[in-house]
Amino acid sequence: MNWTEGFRESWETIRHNRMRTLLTMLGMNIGVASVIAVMAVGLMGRGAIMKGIENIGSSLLWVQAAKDSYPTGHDITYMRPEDVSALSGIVQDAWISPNLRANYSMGSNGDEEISSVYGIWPGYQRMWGRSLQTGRPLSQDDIDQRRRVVVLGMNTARAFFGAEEDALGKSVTFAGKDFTVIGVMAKKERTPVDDGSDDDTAYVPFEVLSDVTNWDAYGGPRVMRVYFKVQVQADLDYVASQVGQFLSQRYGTIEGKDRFTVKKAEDSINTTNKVFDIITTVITLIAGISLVVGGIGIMNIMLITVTERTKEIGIRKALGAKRRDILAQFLIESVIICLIGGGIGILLGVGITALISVIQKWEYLLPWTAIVIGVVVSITIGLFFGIYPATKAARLDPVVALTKE
Amino acid sequence: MPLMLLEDIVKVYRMGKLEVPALGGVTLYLEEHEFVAIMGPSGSGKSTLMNIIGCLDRLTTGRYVLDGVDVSQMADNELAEVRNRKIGFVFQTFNLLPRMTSLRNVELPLIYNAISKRERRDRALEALKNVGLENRALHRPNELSGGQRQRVAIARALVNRPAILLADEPTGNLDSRTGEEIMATFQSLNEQGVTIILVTHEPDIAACARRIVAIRDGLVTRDEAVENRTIVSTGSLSS
Repeated sequence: MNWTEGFRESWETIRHNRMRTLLTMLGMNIGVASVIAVMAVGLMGRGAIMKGIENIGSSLLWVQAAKDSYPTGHDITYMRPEDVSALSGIVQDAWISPNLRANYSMGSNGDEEISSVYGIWPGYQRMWGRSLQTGRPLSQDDIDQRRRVVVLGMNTARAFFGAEEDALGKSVTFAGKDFTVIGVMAKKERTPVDDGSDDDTAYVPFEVLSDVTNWDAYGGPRVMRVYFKVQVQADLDYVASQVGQFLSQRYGTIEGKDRFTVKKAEDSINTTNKVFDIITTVITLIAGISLVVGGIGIMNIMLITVTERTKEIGIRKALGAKRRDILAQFLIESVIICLIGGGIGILLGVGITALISVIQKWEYLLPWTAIVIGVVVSITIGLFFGIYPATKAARLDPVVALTKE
Repeated sequence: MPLMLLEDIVKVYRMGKLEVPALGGVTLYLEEHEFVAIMGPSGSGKSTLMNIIGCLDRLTTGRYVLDGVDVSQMADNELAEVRNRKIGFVFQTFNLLPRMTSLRNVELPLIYNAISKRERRDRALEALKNVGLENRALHRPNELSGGQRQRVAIARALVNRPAILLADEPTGNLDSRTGEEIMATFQSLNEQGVTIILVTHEPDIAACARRIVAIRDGLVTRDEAVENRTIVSTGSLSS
């Protein structure tokens, strides 16, 4: 018997047993749909998070003390403000900014607010894409002149002055000094990678913050981190090695290990990717269990079919059907059932995916791999769970099969 | 060499430890164009003999040569091929596949013989025409009378131009008038040169054949030509 005939006969049988076939397919529907939905949600959720990370930029890197890899018994070495100046002389075509962070009780008009204060260079605002609601950002002039000026986060500005426009030109006090408000940052949208806490911050010139900080307990001024954002993505590794080399030349290594570590935003993208891969894989496997259950259902119904059609098998054998003809007939039937079931499952899964993307406002991504996998898995399940009933049918003794009523 | 040669056929069924002899050494020769009725009460071994002749079952010892081919030791798939090419079955309960049209039922042996679609159709239609049912080609079995169903089955049995037509109680499920029609069809086919083996327990039906082989307790007890052969009128054949 050739394939066309096999498909034709199986199709007729399936059509004849419509209701039963549909019920049998349910397991496959649910299995394939859930696998596709899980894979799609993984894909879309990852897309949303990656978009957030990429807004910050994969061209970002920073250097900090390599605390974790320090051998025991050694004090941690920190960068000094002069290192930042030296690095800015070495690294070309990149925005650069130190970052000194401190929590201060900030006051104005008798109000007190706790605020994170960042000591930065102008490049910091640009590399993080912080736009202003009103006023102006920190400028190189502010740095050079060591002006006591501050750019406030939206929440801080509103807490003190009600409206952000009213904050401009007013002063806030912290660390015993007065700072003039020159700008208010635009409110940040909450994203999957940003909790919006930047709205409670204040930016001041790095040198000014360093000057007002009491470094007595630390043996002089320190820089916790220096950020770089390269203009050309291809420069990233080069800049990273430049920074690393400079610092190891200046400070030497400690028992053969670097005192400083250069981190790339790219690495956290890779980490996110890995985490998502693992989560998606695990949930897909769980969803895959329902496929196995669906497959068992199909095997069950195929076994019943074989029993019901024993007489038919006997007749076919009497008319000259070989084992492989009978085997093919029942295998094709179970594969077709699985393919239809899988097809419905794919449609369901795609529908669920679209629904989730609308609800979550995620960019709709159709997981083509999931669809291909859905089809391949359907065929595989049809073959795997169909082979036993089909073999049983093929091995039937024609005499026994013919006498069955 | 005869068309069919059965030499000392022994068939023993094993049921657990028990060995049940069904045929105790049957020898039978059949020439082309013969019309033989195999008779015997139930339990006589008649069905076993029919299954062996039909290549549905294997013999325990002995030798079976059909149309020049020794089928005694053939494997399953080879036997399937012999059934397909050399034997046409007609059963008591017709054994048509209920979901298929008459045409499709008749095409079935040709499908297993890998005949091309066009030739298959032509030959199946021709076979239906030969039994007077060309206008029932697209009917399903449940739309046909018992006699029509059996004639579809006969068309199916002959479509591959087999060496022998093997009919097992072909009139058993039909009323006597329809049964006569079927016997008339067999006689007419035999006149046209078809070799027929008819298994029956009814003496009236057996009397339509040219030769009777009686089986009892697994042995041939009688093998002789029919003297007063019943010739059934073929006038009522067309439906």
